[in-house]
This record gives sequence, structure tokens and C-alpha cells, in this order.
Amino acid sequence: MSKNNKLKWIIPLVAVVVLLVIPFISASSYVTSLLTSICIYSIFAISYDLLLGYTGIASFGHALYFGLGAYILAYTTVRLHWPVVLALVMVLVVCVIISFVISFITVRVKNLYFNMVTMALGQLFYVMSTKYYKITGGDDGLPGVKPLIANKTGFYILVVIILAVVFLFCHRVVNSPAGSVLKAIKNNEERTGLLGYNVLKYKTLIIQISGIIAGLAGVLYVSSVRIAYPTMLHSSLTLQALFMVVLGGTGTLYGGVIGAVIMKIEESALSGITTRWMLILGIVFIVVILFFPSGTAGIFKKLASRKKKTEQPPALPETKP
Amino acid sequence: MNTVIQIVFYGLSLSMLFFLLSSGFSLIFGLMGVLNFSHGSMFMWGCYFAYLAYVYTGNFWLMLIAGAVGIGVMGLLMEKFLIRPLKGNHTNQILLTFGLIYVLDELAKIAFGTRAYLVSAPEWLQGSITVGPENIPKYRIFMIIAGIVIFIVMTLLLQKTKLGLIIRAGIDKPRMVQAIGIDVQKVFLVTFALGCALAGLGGAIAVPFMGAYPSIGTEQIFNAVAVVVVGGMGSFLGSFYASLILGFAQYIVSYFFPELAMASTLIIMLVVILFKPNGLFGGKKSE
Amino acid sequence: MDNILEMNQVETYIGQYHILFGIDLKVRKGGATVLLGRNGGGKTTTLDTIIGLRKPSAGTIILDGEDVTKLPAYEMARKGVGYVPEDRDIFSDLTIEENLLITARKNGGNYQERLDMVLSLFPDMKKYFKKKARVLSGGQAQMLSISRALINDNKLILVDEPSKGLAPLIIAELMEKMNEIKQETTILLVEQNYEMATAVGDYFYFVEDGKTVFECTKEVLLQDESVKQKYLGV
Repeated sequence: MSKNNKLKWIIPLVAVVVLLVIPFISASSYVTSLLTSICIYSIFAISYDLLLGYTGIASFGHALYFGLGAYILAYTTVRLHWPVVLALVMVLVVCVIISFVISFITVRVKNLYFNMVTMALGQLFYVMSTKYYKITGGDDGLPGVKPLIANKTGFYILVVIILAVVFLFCHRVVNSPAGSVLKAIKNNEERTGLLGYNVLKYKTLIIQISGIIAGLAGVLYVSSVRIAYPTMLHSSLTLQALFMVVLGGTGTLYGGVIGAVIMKIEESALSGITTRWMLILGIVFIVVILFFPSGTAGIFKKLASRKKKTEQPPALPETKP
Repeated sequence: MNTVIQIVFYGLSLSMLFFLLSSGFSLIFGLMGVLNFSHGSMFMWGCYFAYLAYVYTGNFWLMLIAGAVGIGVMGLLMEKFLIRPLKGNHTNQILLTFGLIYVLDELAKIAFGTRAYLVSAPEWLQGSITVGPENIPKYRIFMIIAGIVIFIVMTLLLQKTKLGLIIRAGIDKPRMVQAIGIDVQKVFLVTFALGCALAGLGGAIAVPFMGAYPSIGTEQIFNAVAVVVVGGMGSFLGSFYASLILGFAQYIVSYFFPELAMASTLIIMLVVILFKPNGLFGGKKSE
Repeated sequence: MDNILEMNQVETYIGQYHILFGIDLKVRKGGATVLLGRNGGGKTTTLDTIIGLRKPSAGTIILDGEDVTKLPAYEMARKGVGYVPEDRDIFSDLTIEENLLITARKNGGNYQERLDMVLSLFPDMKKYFKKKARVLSGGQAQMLSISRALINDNKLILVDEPSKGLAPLIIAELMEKMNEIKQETTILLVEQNYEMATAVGDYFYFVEDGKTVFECTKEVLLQDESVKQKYLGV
């Protein structure tokens, strides 16, 4: 392992240690719950980045998995009194099925169909959550969810550990041989197919992993706020995931974490001033897409590469395929 | 008999609403490859522009014009300042229009709050007409006629004018259009504005029927997406037929099982992607 | 000014790939200049760069004494450059008439005269005049694509592999037509078909790995076996 590689691991390691230590230094429960929510959103963002950053496919219904994870845990434990383990298995099964259906229908055709199908499915589930009052509790939601760990600090530590495991797992995935195939798919799907790789299999796999992790984030979230409600399925949540990833930098994994930190801090700062913080988020998002399409991570990379003075070929206008 | 008459008229008016909503969406996508997810939000703003015109002038026709022109101008600005700078990077374009949904929705909430504003149709469009044993609201019939008129006008525009020729040529061979001396940038601008104006007009026509409220956009974009998939990407005629199919399907399903209406649309959409990914009526190739 | 087009050390990227490394060529007014060379050598990119569909990163392009290096495609077309691309790129949803109508420019000469000329050159176009272009066969599509370039009184037309995928009989007909066309309009032709290239061409450039490596007249090409062997592998 080179020195550079070792350094790469020091930052996340330090971050995890710091995250674990904070609640024992600061007694403020506000800080703990803010950090809990940042970590959960980070997991959600990482699941999104796995898809967008490593395969180039954008999902416009990613909140679907998050909301399903939340609702299934809430419904099975509150209404059906299932044990948590069984509820978790159910979340896993449903996320696998949904992601399989989506990928089965869309991987054979253009990514555009994936964009549209995820958008439509997301909308459908959101509307259903508001209409099927008997199951979902409608706009009132499903309250009374028991947290996975009753102690707030304990739950927080669990979330940090899961975040670390998810990060490590995704890092493994994208740096495995399968990960290189994914990058090749993102660069040139046709050519990768011609090289003999089963493009469909890899895309399906990543869509599923991404869905499961997003479902897990939903489970953690509902367990921390103790109520499942329709907004957890709303496309505005998908936008938040997208925002975190694009802001932090796509295709980096840690970009999602950076994005989650920025977004949650912005949210808690702005929600005191305005209730329309989604407006600010939307505007910032558009500005980032227009002027810094590779996100904050991209800015760092650009600075680094400028130092090296590598000659870049001039940018060419892209033509329509 | 009752049921049949009701299904014909209500299904048809719902279809025309879908057509007004999706034709501009499909046109823009077909020519420019831009999937404008904020199209539904433009429709919603069309409702509000129409509402404002109604409040200040009380004139029904001015109200329709306000919706179309207001959103047309919005489209001009959007193409010039948000779409063009992305230089044809379709992924970033989709991401941007997705973000724009929330900007437009939040702005509507700030300006108008979350309540629904109602606009009444002009007197000559109030009340209903008796068709056999059934009473059909006049405004439903107006919507059907409006949809058909706009379909005919747009078809003439695409078939008979130079702009129409260029749009059809551009949907087919975007590169070549430039190589025969056409400034494709300008055509994009005009087409984008035109497509948005159609959304605005659709919103204005819909407003006496459904009112103006902020979440119309996110509710309706679902239908626009479904129409484009079923009709074939970028096929104008296809979007007309697909509107009919989905409008009738949604009405019939909601007549018997109200809660399954949206699901029926989704299922039709998924089946079409699975078995006929180019849409039922041609359009752009999907590989 | 005897050169209608000059390219000096033109370089072009496609995305991040460096495709053209230095194209030098001069197209003389009148007649046909031919680009020869193996597939993937950059011939099509050269034409795309001339018409402005791709932007060169270095070098200059001079059209009729005017620097047109940075001009976009639509302005190049308006300056009198017609393009017959490799895949014909006819507008299949439009009729033959509409294909010609949409291409005709105000500064492209008298439309009726040009149309009569094109229709007498390619009688098939007359036959299918009101039909959608998608019904045309491969050879007819090629003729429509060439007709489109001739509907304006262009200074120069760029023709990319007209013989590609066509039957020998149709290629023979096409050769004849090309020879007729070059009496009126300067042609820059990319052609793999050696027979067609030598039947139509007056002057030849060889493009290899994105560079012009050799140029010669028709006489030299026909007589000097070593040139053929070295650059064409025949």
C-alpha cells in the first residue's frame, strides 16, 4: 500500500473516531440528533452516489426506497407487532423486489427510461401513501415507532457504525473488478458490452445495492424520528439526495457525506429564518449544476490538478447522440 | 348507456387535458432531447397566471392568453439561461429541471400560499348540456374542443410551415440541420418557448376546472411522462393518441376502482417500455 | 485565388480523444479533390471540421480567402459549403420536396432553376417528389443527399463515401453523376472505393492517423505502383 493510499484512510478513520467521541464531550442532545440525522442522510446520499456517480444513471424516485423502508418498519412493528428482525427482513425483501422490477424493465433500454420510471413510481407511492389511510395513516402518518436502540447516544453510535460499514462496503464495491466495469459502463456502455461484459447484470446489481442501502437509511430515519409520514416518499427527498451528491461531488462516495453535512447545517440554520428552505436548496442546486457540475469535490480536484499543471485538451461542445 | 356517455365525455376531456399537458413536453424532448421535469410546474404557473388575469380583467380569453404568453416567456428565459449553458449535456439538463420543480413550487407557495384558488368559467360555459339521459358540463365540452383545436393548429404548424419542417427535420437528424445552414440554437429557443407556452395554455384552460394550487405541477408531471413513454419519445401525433389511451384508461379505472387510477397509468407505461420501448406510435429510437 | 479551401495544420479533438494531428490540404477551384486512406484515419472528422460540426483546437481553415476556422456549421453552410455526410442523413420524416425546400437558402441561387437542374440530374427525385424520404432505397437516399447539397449554388461540396453500401451498378451511375457535377461545383470527396476515387478525382491526398501524409496528381497515382502499395495496401 502506497503512502497516498494510507493517507486516504486516515481522514475517514479520524472522522469516525471524532463522530464517536462527540456525544461524550458535548452533552447537548441537539448536537447528537443533528449528527444522527447527518449520518443517516449520508447513508442515503452514498446510496444515491453509487448509482449516479458510478453508473451515470440518475434516479428521480430514490425516496421510494427510503420511504418504503420507513413505512414497512413502522407498519409491521406498530400495527402488526412484528419483531424488528422480521421487519428488517421484510424491508430487504421489498427493496430487492422493487429495485428488481425497475431494473428488469429499464436496463435494456436507454437510461432515460430509468429516469422516467423512477420518477413515476416515486410519485405513485407518494400519492398512495396519502390516499391509503388504513395502511399508511394518510397525512397523519404512522406514529409510535420504537427506536432500534432506546438510548439516544446508543442509537447515534449504531448509526455511525452503520455509516462506516456502508461507506466501507461501497468503497469495496466500486474498487472491485465489478467497480471498474461500472466505470467503463459509465464511460461507454456500448463498448463495455462489446468487450463481453454483461452490462445488464452489473447495472441491475448496482441498482439493487443502491436501493437496499437507501431502504436501510429509511429504516434508521423512521427509527430516529419515531413516525413514518408521506414526505419520506416525496420527490423533494430525492432532490435532497441528488443535491447532497452533486454538491459534494459525484462518483466519490465521500462527496455524499460532505453534501449531507452542508445540507443539514444549512437546513437547521435556515429553518429558523424561513420555512421555505427548499427554495434556497433548489437555487443553490441549480447554481451548482450550472457552474460547478463536479461539485465541491470537483473543485478540490481541479485545484489539485492545476497544481500539477497537466495539460487538458480543450473542452468541446457535446453533440446529441 | 348512461355510463357509456359519461365515460366518452369525461374520458375525452381528461384525455385532452393530458394532451395539453404533454404535447409541449414531448415537442421539447423530441427536438432537443431535454426531458423537462419542470414542465408540470410550468403548467401550474400557467394556472396562476391565468388566475391573475382573471382577477384583474375578468376576461376569459385574456386569461388563456396570459397563461400561454406568461409561460412562453418563462420558457424563453429558461432555455437561454438554464438549458443552453449546459451545452447539450442531457444528464445535467434533467438534474437541473428536476431542481427547478422545487424552485417554481416554492415560489408559488410564497406568492400564493398553499390554498387552492378557484376561477369560474364564463357564463356561456357554465351549466351543462343534456346528452341523451346524461348531463355533461359545458366546460368539459369546451376542454375537448380546445384540445382538438390545439391539436389541429399544432399539426398544421408542424406540417405546413418552415419552422415545422425544421422541427421535424431536427427531431430526425439534429446534426444535419446545422449543416444545411440553420441556426439550431434559435430553433431550440423558439421550440422551447413554444412547448412551454403550450403548458401554460393547458394550465389556463384547466384552471376553471381544477383551480390553481402549488402541487398541481408535481401531480401532473407523472401524466406527462406517461404520455411521452406510451406515445413514443418526441412523436407529436403519438402524444395525442397516448393521451387518449391514458385519459380513457384512467377515467374508466377511476370510475370503477377510484384508488387504482394512477396505478393503471403506471402499469400501461411499464408494459409499453417492456414490450414496445419506442412507444406505441414510433418516435425517437431508444436503441 | 485558385484555392477554394485551404487547411493548415488543423487539429481536432472528439471529446478527450485527439483525432486530427495536422491536416494540410488545398482544394483547387473546379474539379474534384479526393481524400484517401484507411478507415479511422480521420477523413470524416476532417470533413466535420471543415463544415464546423467539430471545432478545431489548432490550425486554420480558409474558405475562398476568408478565415472560417471558428465558424459554426450553419454559417459555413450559408457561405456556400454543402455537405453530403457518410450516413446520408436525409430527413426521413420529410418528403423529397421538403428535404430540398428546407435546404434551399435565399443566397443559394434561383430555386426553380436549381430544382430543375437537380431533377434532371436525378430523375428518381422527380418520381418520388411528394413521397416521404424514408421510402427511398440506399442509392436513392444518397442521390437525395447529393441533391440537397446541389439545391444551392454552393462553392464547395463535401461528399463523404457516397459509394458506401451501394451495389456496383449504382456506384457506376453515381460515378457518372459525380463527374457531371464537378464540371459546375468543386467537390471534396472522401472515398474508399478506389475505382470511384480515380474515376472522379483530379488530385489526391492521403490521410493517415490524423495527418495528411502524401499528395499527388491523378497521373502519379495511376502510374506509380509504389504509391498505391504504400498508402492503400493494394
